[in-house]
Amino acid sequence: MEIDKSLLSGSTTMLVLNLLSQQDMYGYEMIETIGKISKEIFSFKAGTLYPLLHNLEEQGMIQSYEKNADHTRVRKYYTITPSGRKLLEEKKSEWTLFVKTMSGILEGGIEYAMQ
Amino acid sequence: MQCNEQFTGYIKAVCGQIRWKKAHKKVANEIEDHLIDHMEALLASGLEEAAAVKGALEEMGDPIQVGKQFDAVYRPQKDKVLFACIIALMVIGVAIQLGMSLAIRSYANTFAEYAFFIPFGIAALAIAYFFDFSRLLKHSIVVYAVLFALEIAALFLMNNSRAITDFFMMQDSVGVMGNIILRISRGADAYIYFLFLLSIPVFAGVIHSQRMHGYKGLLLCLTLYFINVGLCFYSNDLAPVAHISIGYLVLLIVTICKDWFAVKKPRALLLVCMPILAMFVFVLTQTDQFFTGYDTIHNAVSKAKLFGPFVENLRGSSNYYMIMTDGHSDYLFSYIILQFGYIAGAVSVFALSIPVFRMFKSSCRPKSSIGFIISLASSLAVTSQMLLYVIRNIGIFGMRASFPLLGYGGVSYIVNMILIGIMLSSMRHDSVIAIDKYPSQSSQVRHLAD
Repeated sequence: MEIDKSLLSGSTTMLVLNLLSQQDMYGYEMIETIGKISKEIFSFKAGTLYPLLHNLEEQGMIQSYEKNADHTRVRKYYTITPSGRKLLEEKKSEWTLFVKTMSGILEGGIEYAMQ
Repeated sequence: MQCNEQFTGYIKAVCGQIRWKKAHKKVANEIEDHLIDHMEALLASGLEEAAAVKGALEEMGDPIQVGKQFDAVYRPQKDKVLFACIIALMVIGVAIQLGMSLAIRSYANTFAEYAFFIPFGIAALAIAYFFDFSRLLKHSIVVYAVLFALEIAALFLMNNSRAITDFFMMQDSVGVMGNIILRISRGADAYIYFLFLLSIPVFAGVIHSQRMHGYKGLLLCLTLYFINVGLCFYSNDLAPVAHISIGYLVLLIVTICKDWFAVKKPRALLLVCMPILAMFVFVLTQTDQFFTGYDTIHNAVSKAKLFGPFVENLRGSSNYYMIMTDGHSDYLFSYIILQFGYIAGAVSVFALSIPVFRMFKSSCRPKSSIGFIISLASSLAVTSQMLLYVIRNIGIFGMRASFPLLGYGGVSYIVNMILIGIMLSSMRHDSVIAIDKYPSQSSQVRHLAD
């Protein structure tokens, strides 16, 4: 089932930071990993991911460095910063509250609001 | 390969939307890497080359939209408050010099010469602002060596000033080059002083090049410090020692605490702080020997009142006479304290310090390591002048120093504008300075040891 992209757009930062909190990655690797762990339900376009990564780097949430990929190429890796970890925790808390509230409304209906 | 042409075309279309040209290379490199990675993955899955190229490009998305998103990220960094502080200092400097030239007979003709250097100072700031110093400081040790050679050349000219003058007087015509050499040799002591100030941001580049080099890197930095100190002693001018001691010491302390050298911090801090602080204290104790007449200033200021002028027969006092005629803008705060009292002096010090400290605060903003250290170094070079100027004026220690942009002196004005330009340039280019080759050691351990 295809997901409405607007549902994903607000969570992209959280997904990227969550990936980097576990392991340093380069851009293509992030796209592949997101696709695999979401069983292809979520997909990032590279044209969306890279401006986001550069923006997060500008804000100090992540930082980048170069590492030799093989004998001919150098890859640009990203790593999360302490500020990025803090933002991730805030985003996770927001998401948890959002999901709990939305689930309550969808499952409980109007009666949920009366509780 | 045809794919290269298509990729190049795509990247060109993306970069066409990014107004700041300095960001193009960084964005282009990353997009190209991604396109190649994706194309290779599609080829490995069995697709033909043409289809793999097409697939990689489609997955990237519309180049115009992608470019616009990057354009929104990359704007040259401008700190409006900082620019305002710099302009305020320049305006105050003009006001002080103009006021002095109108009020004090011996300063009557000095404003024209001060004003002559203003456009050169602005030009120097503009050149420094638009130049990306991170490129230069990737060869920091070479630049440091060149600067050191210039210091030695200036010292040679200073020590042989009389002989040089006699030589050119004997010639039928001096020529343009001869005039330049004569002028430099006569003012060489000032040039040496400001060359030492310029060594502070260059030293920052040396520190950056020695990251992860452990104690070897630290010892190299200390060696360069003592070589410069040795030259100061040889030139018989200890004022630069105070400036480079403050600048180099703060830079080393900050970078050690940020784990740049990957050494045990307490031991490293002890290794650098003890010799540099000892040298700094020694130099301060020698100020009376190297700055004759300081006792007069010290005695006068120490007897000043909280409010009001120093003594009633002020005009007949030799202290007043010395402050009013012997390089007056070098004793601006002394003059205010003696004329109007300590409170007025404190208020003026505080007011004029605000833009300088605001500059210092802004210098810590850059996120790239080289941008941060160069910016910090430049602002230290400016701030150390202000601190030593205030210390001198309130009678604690006598040490040659001029208040940046306020004091009389063309070389001082231009060099300080260069230092401010370097600081602004570091902030401007921060987002596109080449990325660090090495992550911090802690992230290296956390992420790459798995």
